[in-house]
Amino acid sequence: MSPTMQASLFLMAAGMGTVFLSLAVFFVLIALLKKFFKNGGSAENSPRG
Amino acid sequence: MQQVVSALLEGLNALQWSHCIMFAVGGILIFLAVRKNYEPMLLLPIGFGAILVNLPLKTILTFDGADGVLQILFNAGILTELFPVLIFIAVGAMIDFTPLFKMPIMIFFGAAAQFGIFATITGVVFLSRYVPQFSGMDPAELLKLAASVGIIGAADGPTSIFVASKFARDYLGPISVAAYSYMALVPIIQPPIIRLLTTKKERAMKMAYRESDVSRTVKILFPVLATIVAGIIAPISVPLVGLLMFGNLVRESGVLERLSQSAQNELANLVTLLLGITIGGTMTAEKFLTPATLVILGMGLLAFVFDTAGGVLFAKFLNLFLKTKINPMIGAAGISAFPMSARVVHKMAQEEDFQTYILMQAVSANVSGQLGSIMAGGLVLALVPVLIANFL
Repeated sequence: MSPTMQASLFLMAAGMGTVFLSLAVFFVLIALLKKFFKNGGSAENSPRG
Repeated sequence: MQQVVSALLEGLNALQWSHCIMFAVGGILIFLAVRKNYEPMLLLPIGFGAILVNLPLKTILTFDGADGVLQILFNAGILTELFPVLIFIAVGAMIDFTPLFKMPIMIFFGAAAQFGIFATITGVVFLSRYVPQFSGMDPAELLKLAASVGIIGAADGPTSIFVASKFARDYLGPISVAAYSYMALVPIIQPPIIRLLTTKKERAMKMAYRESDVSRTVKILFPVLATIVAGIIAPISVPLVGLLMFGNLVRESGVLERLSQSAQNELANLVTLLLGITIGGTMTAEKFLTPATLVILGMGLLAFVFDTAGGVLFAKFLNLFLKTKINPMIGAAGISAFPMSARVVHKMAQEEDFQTYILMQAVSANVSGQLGSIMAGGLVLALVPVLIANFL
């Protein structure tokens, strides 16, 4: 197998793995943001004394 | 008198058959744009640029020893990567991540549907031994070219142009034509692949829709934090991801409506106009009418096929473990061709059973595909030089 083919196969494995990992990080980011900033987050939605 | 006649006939004497073929190629792109409405914003300027640059003596590129207008635009906008990067601001201002925020789990289909990029890179490397232009290439240049062809599978024009302008500038023309043409042809490319890989029962599978609320704070914080995260994972992706998220932040902030509208309209239109004609200006007969162009066009199509297959098969794989099954067609919606892919998938579901309504899930996957494609583009830019240093 040529070095270029080896490199491309490695790119496939590493690339797909890192894409999934990156988007998993984004998934966690979105989940955390939604958990901590649940209800509108704007002045209109805040209860007034 | 003879010199005057010579000067008048200079253009005609310089005209060759290859130029005429390129006039036809440009004409076909303009026809597809105008009559078929295939990505007219890019294909029409590219088509006209291809005609301009193949007129005899190429005065649009050089004249009297000085750079012509298309060369100036190329140097200013493509060599510097300025044009695609400005387009990312516009794209970011147009993207609404809300469907993804409402169903974050769909983000993984945006990852699976990038499979076509990497499969195509391997395919180009494999085919290179059979293509004379590629077989004698330096291995490092071959890998960069393969990456530039594979990135067509991102189904995202600016990402394809950004990567190709870094790695394979000479092939920018056919790569751009392939990327934008196949994006327009998604309603034709995807359905046969989806039908091949799924059963009627799977295509008719219903899915419950459970969305969650998304606050404005989330929409504002996401682009900022996503830029920081992406910049740490792949620093070379910052021009891509950072400017896309900048455009998105301008949109979501709620206090920059004029800038958001300018980004989505004036900026997008102006840069697209100049980008298109400049890319067309790279399509000289000598560069375009080669076996390499056919390989690029063929492999670009394969990239879309592998993307679709990757997404569908990923969904089917997940269904082996999930109690609540996912309609496998959702995987196909994970490519970046927004909103076309989501509409194609939903339409196919409705054709099998009109009570199967999967549009919201498909849109979520489609939005995540936009995120997945720019991450994949950034990772290709980061990983290829490392692999060249270590393997080649």
